Amino acid sequence: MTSREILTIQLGHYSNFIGTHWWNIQETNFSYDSDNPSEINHDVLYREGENLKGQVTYTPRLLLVDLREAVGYLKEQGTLYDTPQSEEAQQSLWDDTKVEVLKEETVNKSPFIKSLDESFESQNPTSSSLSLENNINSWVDCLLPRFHPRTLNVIKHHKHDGAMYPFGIFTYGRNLWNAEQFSDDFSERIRAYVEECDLMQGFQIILDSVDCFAGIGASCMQHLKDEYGKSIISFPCIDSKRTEHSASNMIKILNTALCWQHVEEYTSLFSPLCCGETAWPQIGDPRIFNHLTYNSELKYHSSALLATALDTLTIRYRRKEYSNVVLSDLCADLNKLGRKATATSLTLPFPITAKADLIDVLDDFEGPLWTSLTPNCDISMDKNMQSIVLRGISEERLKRPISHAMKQISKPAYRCSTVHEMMMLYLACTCHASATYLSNISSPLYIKSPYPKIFNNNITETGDVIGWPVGTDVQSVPVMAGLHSGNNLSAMYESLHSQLSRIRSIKKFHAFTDSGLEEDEFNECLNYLLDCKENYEDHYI
Amino acid sequence: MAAISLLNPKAEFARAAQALAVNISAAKGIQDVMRTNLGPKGTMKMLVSGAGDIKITKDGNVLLHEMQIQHPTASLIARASTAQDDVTGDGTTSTVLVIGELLKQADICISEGLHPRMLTEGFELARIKTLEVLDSLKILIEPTKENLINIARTSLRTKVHPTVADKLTEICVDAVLTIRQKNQEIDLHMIELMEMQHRTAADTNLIRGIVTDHGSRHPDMPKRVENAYILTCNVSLEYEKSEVNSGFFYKTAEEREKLVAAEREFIDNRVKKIIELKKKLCDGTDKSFVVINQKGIDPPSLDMLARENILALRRAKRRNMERLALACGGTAMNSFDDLKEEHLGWAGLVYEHILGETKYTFIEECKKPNSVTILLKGPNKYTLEQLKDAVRDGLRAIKNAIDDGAIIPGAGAFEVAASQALHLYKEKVKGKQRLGVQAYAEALLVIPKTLAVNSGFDAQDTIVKLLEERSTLGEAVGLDISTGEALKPTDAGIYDNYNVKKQIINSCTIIASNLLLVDEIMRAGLSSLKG
Ligand SMILES: Nc1ncnc2c1ncn2[C@@H]1O[C@H](COP(=O)(O)OP(=O)(O)O)[C@@H](O)[C@H]1O
Ligand SMILES: [Mg+2]
Repeated sequence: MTSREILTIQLGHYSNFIGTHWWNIQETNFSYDSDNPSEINHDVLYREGENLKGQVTYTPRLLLVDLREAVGYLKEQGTLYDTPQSEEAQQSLWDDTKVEVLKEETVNKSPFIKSLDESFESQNPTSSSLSLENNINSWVDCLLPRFHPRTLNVIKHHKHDGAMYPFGIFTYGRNLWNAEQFSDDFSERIRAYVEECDLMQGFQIILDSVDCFAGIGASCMQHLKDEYGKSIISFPCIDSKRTEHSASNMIKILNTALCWQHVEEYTSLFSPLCCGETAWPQIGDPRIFNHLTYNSELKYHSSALLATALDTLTIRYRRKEYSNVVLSDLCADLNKLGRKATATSLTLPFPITAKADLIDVLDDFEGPLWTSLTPNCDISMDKNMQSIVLRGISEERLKRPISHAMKQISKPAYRCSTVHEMMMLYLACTCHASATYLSNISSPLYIKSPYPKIFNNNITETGDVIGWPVGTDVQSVPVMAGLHSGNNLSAMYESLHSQLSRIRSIKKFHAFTDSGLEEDEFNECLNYLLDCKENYEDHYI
Repeated sequence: MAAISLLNPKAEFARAAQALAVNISAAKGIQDVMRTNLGPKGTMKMLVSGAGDIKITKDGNVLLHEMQIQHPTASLIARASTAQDDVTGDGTTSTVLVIGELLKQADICISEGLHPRMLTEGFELARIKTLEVLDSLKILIEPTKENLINIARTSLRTKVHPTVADKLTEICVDAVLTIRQKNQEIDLHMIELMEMQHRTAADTNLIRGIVTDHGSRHPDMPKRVENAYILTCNVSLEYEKSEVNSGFFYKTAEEREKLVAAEREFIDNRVKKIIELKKKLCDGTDKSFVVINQKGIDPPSLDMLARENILALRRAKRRNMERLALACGGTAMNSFDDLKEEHLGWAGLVYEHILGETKYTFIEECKKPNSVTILLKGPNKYTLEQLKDAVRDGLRAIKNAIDDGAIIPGAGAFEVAASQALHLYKEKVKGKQRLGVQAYAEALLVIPKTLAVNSGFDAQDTIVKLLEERSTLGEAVGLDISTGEALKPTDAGIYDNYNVKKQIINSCTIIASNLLLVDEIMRAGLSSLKG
């Protein structure tokens, strides 16, 4: 079977938090049991390789970018591909007595990473007693996978350049890409990954939309589109930590608007992400999940939710069973009429009561089926083009056999013989005037440390909902997530437009004008938001 | 994360008088850090990051950027050294030293009550005079191997061991001379630097052709072919389902398959065109056929090509397309509609080399390679980087020499000569600007002085000797770093680039003046310094 490969790109600090959880989730969900193989084709996101010691490696097909201070103890080349000691027979290129060593203070690993290293050496599983909430300053502090030497791209700069290298500015990021060195290196790494792929699906890009990484991302996507012409799905994201500084809020809004404008142009599909209900004018209240308690101020928490949504909704194009269902299908389904923006939804856990069957759960279901993770955008049940993925409901939990069916038999859904069929029927009945593409797999999402402990105590080890507290950690959970394209996105554009139009003139934003933003481009951006708003308005009713 | 800084840079400046003092001491500080690096006896710095990553360099520009020197003055100096590097590729350490020394000399004058304005005016006079001296030292050269070897060797020996340096010197000069085309600007991009992990740097070599860091992706393709036609192209040989067909309203599986088959045929036809040409040209001869595509080639297409014993590479670097045409001849094709023999290039030998998970493809024995590859070898990433930096410098030095049509005597000869000339010139300058000229004359001596100190000799003794020799001989006199005596650089084959020195003189004068006139600059706003 040829795998249809995907290259993932993470740009920015928050995006790397999301990415870290996402890759952690992948590894936690690997199956080493040949009788019970994974339903997910991991070769879509991973590559197999061989280091110089002849060992086989299996690493994310990933490129990420962050600032120096964010990557802490991570070596640029990683550790998997270290040169064998024997070959290091040091033959230096300069007189050894004339080498002056300048050593920075060694960066300490977080307690979690230390325990990981130890268990890696002793082959014992990690003890999960560590409280991670207080020990995670950067995503590297909770990172499970080891990377290929190509993966990590560090933006070097010095502290004294702070004023001259405004990392908070879209246009600075764009300039950084245009500085030959960065884009040469980066696009060469992209090429190397793509060359390895037999038949690539395309690219997934997670990027911070509120700072210079948005600008890097925009340029990068333009490059990908020009050079490879493959599908690109992207997720511009915003940390839900609240900030007080109102001037910087305005800058973030400007960055986000510019980000979308360019992302829109180059990607096939995109979905803004944030755990706050709103991201402008400022970060709003956290999105509510009935069975979760999480701290939206912690990147470590909020990014885990976003990663969970991404992991589930992308299953559509990562399955073994339907390997010809690919990213371009997803994009084609949703980006009709030039509507490239979509809203992301998450249902965590998919609330199935202990001992109950899907048929009853759906029947008793009250309230909205999903929670939006797209800022300033709710997702209605109706009038959506949507792609939904459900994982973790096995066929055994569909309904009772006819001999024990009792009341179930009178329900119209009883004639459905698969989870897929029943869910489709349910969605057809509940989602008025919508077109749904549903994918489902039976295996739940397996969870282990460093995934944050955010489930309420009425969730069982296997992710069922019960009416009383249990004392065990959740180990697996059913999840539903989706991408939705509907008129709610119009409101999202409208709100961003109204915030952005508070900027009367771009001239006051020196950092932008100094790095090449012109009044015209700003005005185009305003118009773009208005056009999009109108493009999502339904006039057919 | 660093606070995303929106501070007005002006706020970081102290008030004027203090700012001047701060600038001077910062420039001195940076000079102190860099001075040990100058010349063939300078020290390397091994920078070890908090994560354990290693970088070895003595390049002033790299050091300024890698070391976290926290001062706005540093970024001004860094800009001068970056400009130096961009324009000439060399002289960055000298830049830092000269700026620092100009400020040091200025400090003495200012503390005696001289206004910075007078100094900078004097600097300007001195700059013009110094450039005259530089022009008078020019040695015009023809771009022959003998002439270029000296300049390349001088540069490379300041970066790597003499044994490795001499090896690289030969390689660099050969590389440049091979790609050089009559009446055309030298494009160093046509010399690819390819890294390969390997025990010893001494095995670095020049390939008169192209080396790619990827190979065929089909097990049955030949690993080595001779007398090869080379087809370079930018044509997709990969079947791609378009985004147009929505998957919503699912067609039947058969319908879908049919669609795929029809679109697939389109790609197959392209492959068939290649095969057709290959059959016509190669079948029944000892010739073979190689395809190098900038676009993708999917497994079915690879299969078809492999069956015909065609070696095919996909996703070649964009730049390699141009380079392949230069090395092997032929034209990079954007379509196969009218594919003919004349579009193809030629190489005597194409073969594959595997190292770990990386495949290299060597395309050699080209008839007239106008593009070549330097294959750098080193045991690890940082050694390779160090080697690469050195080779880049060597190549730039050679290109500079050819572009200038001239070189100048090295080993401090230029600075000694200029300093001496400035001392004479100073007498003719009226007013306080004279002090500026004098300071400038002193400052230039930082180069020979530092070369002396780094070689273990006394700075003052050496300078006295050199100035005396210069006066008596009336020709260029530099420092013999093994004896501490004077030597004639032209005898010893030590040369520097003309444009490097010129850029140093110009940019150091400007930056030093800007730093001295800090109060005026503050008023004008920092943005006036941009660029
Ligand atoms: N063999 C030599 N003997 C004396 N001086 C030399 C020799 N080779 C190079 N130099 C001098 O060393 C200086 C260049 O040193 P280098 O370390 O390359 O610094 P930079 O970064 O300024 O180019 C030049 O002034 C050059 O004349
Ligand atoms: Mg040099």
